[in-house]
Amino acid sequence: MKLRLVSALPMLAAMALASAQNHVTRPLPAPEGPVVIENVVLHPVSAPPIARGWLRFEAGRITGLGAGEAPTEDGVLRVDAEGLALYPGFLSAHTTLGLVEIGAVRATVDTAETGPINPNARAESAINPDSELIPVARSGGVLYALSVPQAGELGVLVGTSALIRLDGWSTQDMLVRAPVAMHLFWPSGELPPWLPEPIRRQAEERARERRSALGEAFAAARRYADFTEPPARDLRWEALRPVIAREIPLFIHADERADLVAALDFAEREKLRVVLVGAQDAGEILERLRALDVPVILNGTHWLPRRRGDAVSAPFELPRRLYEAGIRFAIASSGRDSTNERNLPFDAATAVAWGLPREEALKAITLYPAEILGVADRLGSLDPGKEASFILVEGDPLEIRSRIHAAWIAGRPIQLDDRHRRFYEKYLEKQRRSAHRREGA
Amino acid sequence: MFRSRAFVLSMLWAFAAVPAAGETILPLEGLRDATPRRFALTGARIVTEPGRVIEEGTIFIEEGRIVAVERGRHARPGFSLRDVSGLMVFPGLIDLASDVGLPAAARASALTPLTPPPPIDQQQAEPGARHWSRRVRPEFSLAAQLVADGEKAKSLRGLGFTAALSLPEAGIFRGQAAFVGLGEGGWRRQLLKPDALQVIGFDFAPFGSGEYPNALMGAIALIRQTLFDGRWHGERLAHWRAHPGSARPEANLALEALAPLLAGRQPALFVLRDELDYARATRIAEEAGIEAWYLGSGFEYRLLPRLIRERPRLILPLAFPDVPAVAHPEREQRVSLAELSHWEEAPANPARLHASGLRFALSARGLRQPERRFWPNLRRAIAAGLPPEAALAALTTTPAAWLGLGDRMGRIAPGYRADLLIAEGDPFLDQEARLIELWIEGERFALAPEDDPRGRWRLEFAGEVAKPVEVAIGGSAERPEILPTEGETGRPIRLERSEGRFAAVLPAARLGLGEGQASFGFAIIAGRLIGELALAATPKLGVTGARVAARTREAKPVEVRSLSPSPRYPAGEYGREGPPPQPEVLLLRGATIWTMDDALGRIEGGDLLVERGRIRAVGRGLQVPPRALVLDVTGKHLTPGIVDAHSHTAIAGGLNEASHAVTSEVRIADVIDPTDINLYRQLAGGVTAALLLHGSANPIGGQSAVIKLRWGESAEGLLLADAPPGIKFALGENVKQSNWGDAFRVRYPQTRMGVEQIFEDRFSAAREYLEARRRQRKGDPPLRRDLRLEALAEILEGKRLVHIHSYVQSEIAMFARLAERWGIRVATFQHVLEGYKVSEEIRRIGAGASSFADWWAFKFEVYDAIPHNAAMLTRAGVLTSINSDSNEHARRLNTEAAKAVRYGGLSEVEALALVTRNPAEQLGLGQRIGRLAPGWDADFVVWSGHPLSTFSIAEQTWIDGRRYFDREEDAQWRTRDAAERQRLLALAREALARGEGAAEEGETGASSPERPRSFRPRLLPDIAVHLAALRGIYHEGWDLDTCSLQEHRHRTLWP
Repeated sequence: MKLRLVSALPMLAAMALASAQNHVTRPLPAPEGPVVIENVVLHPVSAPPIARGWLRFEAGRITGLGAGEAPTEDGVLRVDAEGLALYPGFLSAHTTLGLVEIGAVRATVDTAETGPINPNARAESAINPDSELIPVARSGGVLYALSVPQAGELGVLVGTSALIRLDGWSTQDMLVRAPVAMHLFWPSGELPPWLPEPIRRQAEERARERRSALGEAFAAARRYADFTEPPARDLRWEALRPVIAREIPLFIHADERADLVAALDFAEREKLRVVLVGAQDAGEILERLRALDVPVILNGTHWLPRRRGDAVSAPFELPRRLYEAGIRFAIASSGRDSTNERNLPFDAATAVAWGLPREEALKAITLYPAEILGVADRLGSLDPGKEASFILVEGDPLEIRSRIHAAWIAGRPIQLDDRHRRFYEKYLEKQRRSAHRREGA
Repeated sequence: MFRSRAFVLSMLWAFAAVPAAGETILPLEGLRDATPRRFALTGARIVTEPGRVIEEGTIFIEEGRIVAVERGRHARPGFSLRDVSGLMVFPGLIDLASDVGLPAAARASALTPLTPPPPIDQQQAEPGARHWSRRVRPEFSLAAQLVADGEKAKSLRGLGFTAALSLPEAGIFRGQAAFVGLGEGGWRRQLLKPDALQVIGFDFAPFGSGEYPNALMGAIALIRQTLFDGRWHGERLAHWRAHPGSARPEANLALEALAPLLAGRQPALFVLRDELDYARATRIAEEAGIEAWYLGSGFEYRLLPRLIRERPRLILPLAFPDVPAVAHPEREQRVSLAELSHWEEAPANPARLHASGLRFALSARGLRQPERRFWPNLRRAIAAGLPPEAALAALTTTPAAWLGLGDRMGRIAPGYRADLLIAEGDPFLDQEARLIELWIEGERFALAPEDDPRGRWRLEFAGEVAKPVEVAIGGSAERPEILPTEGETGRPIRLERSEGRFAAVLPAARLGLGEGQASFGFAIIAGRLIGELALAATPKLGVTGARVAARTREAKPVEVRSLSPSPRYPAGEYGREGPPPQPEVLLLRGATIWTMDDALGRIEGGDLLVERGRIRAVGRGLQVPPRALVLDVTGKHLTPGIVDAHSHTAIAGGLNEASHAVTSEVRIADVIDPTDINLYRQLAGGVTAALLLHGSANPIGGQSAVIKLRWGESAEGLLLADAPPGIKFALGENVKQSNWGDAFRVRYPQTRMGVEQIFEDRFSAAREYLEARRRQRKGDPPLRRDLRLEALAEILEGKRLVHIHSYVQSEIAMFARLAERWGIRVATFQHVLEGYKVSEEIRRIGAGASSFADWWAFKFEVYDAIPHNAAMLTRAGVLTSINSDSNEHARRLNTEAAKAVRYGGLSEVEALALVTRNPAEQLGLGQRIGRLAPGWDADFVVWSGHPLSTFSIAEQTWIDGRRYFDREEDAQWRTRDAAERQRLLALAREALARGEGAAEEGETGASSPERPRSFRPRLLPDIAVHLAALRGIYHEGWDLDTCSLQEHRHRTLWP
């Protein structure tokens, strides 16, 4: 099966040229006029798959799709995708893309401000659009990412996240929305039980202090919110204003059951819109999650059971359990340093191996995160009016052995080129030459 | 063994008898004390030794010794008669694992972490010619350092102990224990036997302190090396004395102090922390030819078959775990089933051992609040089936005999020390029994107040100002209370006791004296109450009373209940009852078989025939042999078991001996942890064998081990003993400590240049070591056996394979050249993420490559890593594997291998080979595992579908023709464990409701005084990582490599 892009040659030529001449991946221009991808298997995700169909897009938006032959039209760039399937691009709902380049090199890490209360920190002001990690994620079909500040030593309210499309000259180009959510890393005193007691005591004490700092922050922010024009500006409480007004959600990062329970208690008391992130023990509090209608963003499925006695497959089966309990959820990737966002579909695939319907797994990395992040009107599925962001795949994108042949973000074709491919090609050349030498000798 | 010999010799120094009067050297000041010290205790029920009772007898004591024990009540002239009618007399108890008189310097807390990291010859500045490690001080003789410790002695007396063996607690070779009496009069009088034994513990410094050892395996290596050194030192000295002109050996008091141990004149007491330490200690003792005793951990019931075979001398703790913390439902799941079942089983530990015919001593060591827990715990042990005579023996005759003092202590018999415990009731059987007094070497110590005011009293008032009244006094003898009169609603009122007098303030109405409060004070003299009252109306009123009803004590006997032992191992979750059966003949039919054998290829609809754990035949339509167990696996896929060429699973006590740059003497095989739940989790992902590697904190790390994941076996049962030996080397950022933080800038090497020089230098030393051994002739000074150089010499001799952690091309090329120069066999470059840049260099020396599938950018030296690496190395002719280096990745190595199809375009068979056949060959086991071909081990996985598919799962995992993992069995076990868990939780809740103390969260098992201390890294995730070596066995399975928010930080320290 080959990609036959009969009438798309000019566009492909541009891509190839860019890739050969330059070692830095760059944004490509959008095609002028409408484009139709035809003879393709369509997976709109919001609707059942179409075995053979077409999709039309123009000016960055999807303008139509359907089964069978595309309507004839003049001045349209036609892409014949015989044997390939079109999926919406994946949205990774918890990353540090653009904020961390090399985790161990402090100079390249911009995730955590000092102290516990930093609601006014904003991810979009630090995102590096030229991070080498971004093209690597994109080559794996991840076209959107929520970039999230993280908790440092004392971090509690760490700031607001930004949703970016993984293509553009600048962060401003890339920005879909910011702020998306306020992020709270629940101060957990739940330490490994084998740690020496004085250390556990100390840590529990510090967690208590941070929890009280959290309570005080919200109390202060509410007092501040009572003023339409406060006597003096406080950046922190200003940043909490939309959270208190329920205009943006509070994303609470927590995993252990006791922490989840405490976090939900907090959210109920404060009457906030919340989403749980991580929530490895979500399976233990299904009833309450359903009753409160709290969505969950899982940090992948590739993590170890939390306890000795937990089912070996507990992490793998959690998405299925959430699905069966009727709880809204999305799957983010399991790596915490965002070097391997490209593995997002495989985290979802593992849930399929353990009983989650395949269509649900696909939604969990496309439409569901778009819904939870409040951008489902623009992203997450192949529907007219949404951004023209999709991947053209040979095989099932949830299978590692499949190949992504092409991708578009908001109507622009993107180079599936990255640091890894460049090194690969360079040293393939070295191997070829040394093989020549060996044969010659 | 050496047991019989040991004590004949060491008995030379034992003052079990009282120092005779007038034999003290203490100059007399003032007048002599000539008080007669002759007593006759009469009328008691005397348990003279376990199982022997005189119902009513008399004990005659003279100058601290028992001179006669007679039936009936007797008196002798000159003996003060003491009536102990109605009481019981036992021999005084002996604790073999005490800390009485221990100076602060001999406590574990004395070894505070050294910062900054000291140089290796850290002892240079310390006084004396000692060992270079401050943790090796066998010369420390506690007898010479005992400090006055009246409180501790009193506390032990309060439990009924009359003598105790006090153990030094600091370090590894902790020094000589001292056996002492618990009476008064100073240590000259109380010391019974100095240097009774040498104490050895598996102690180590915290990770990152720079002090050696910082891991359990380092502690074991140091013990072995020190014992070899001790023997060598003795021989070397002897040689020098015999050859006056020869070179003088250096002095070392520590090594000299090991002479009695090495000569079999004294035993070593190994302090065990868990059930796995026992095997470690016995291996050391056997290798060194020393006699070993063991201070048990409380988990001995899990070792029964082995203990029955070996019959060791064991001291068992009576410190049982507290009730698990199950009060908070949202936290209850943090308590593991393993922990719950140990809570139930621990009190039965002594009973189990007794029932198996083993002898042991019992100790109060490790008990928090011993005054509240010792006897109740002892009775719990008895309730769990330990006969009371056996309990008594374990506290009297057995410890006395083991110390070589069985003919003068531990019994009530003429000639024995007058060490007696007198009780009201039988404390072994009766929960209401009370200890009344203790005699130590003929000296009496009251344990209960003599005047017990409890009972009903009829009080009469002087001048008959009021009518006589009855008052009830209850509470305990120590804390008596005036009870409310019948019909009265008031509370009991405490009676203050002071110097034989009692006092309380109480409502006058309770005495029938009208309004207001009364002060009431009295003494009990010859059974009568004599006192006075003060009231508002009557400032002073005499009172007398007679007891109309004595307190009648009701015995509350111990209820014995038997607990059927659980044969499961590991204990708790997913425990297995013995190895899975091995069918003699097994035929699997109808699968797609990935043989990974070039000739056999991939067989659709194939059969696999297994005989006694070996593959007999693979093919289509195989005949069904008679008696074959046939499994229909139509539609499934069969592959060889996955082999993980880089694992840190199942390693106890730290995976990095990160202190010295070279630690080739440490061995992973010494610290295998068969209880690591990740073994089971990885079996469930199809892994059957793994190379367990030391960490990468130093250029030359420790010796590796190969295991098969035979879940349920012991540590020895997991080891693949005949696998070619290996060792871990490392290069780059970790070994030059560039990512350890700013404090670590001292240790050599700090650059990649220095890393090369370390190898060059140590290989040179190893070559010279080999030459010296070759040149060694009879009559030469004895050569020191150096475990560190020995392992390196094995590398030079081609007997030990090198697995070298490496990332960037410069260091890979450097080591390839170095290996070529030294003729070293490099089995694998590990990680080797820039291997694709130098594949030719790797291929040329015949080395393998073992890589991550796609990790990159978590630190600088992996910024050029690409996921095409494995494919490119394969294409270049390098034997390549994909490994996990993570407990999590290890569960899905099949799909990690699939990434080599996606990146670099390997065929599916080539990709699967990356996690089966290739790693097997890298481990030198290619002729045994890694393929499904006749003659190979029957290690295989039954997959639900294509083994490289993300949608497939491992349904069964077989090792040696035994089904070690089975999806259905797993489900059954979960049901089984859940039921067991509910049963134990219910018991725990009942215990909590009864008011039994709950464990602080996280407290498991007996309290462990050996655990340190004060090392406080700043970030919480770092704390867990830095202290990982302290994590006990049966842990929750967190991957301390990668588990946290700070993944990169962990990775930089640990892979």
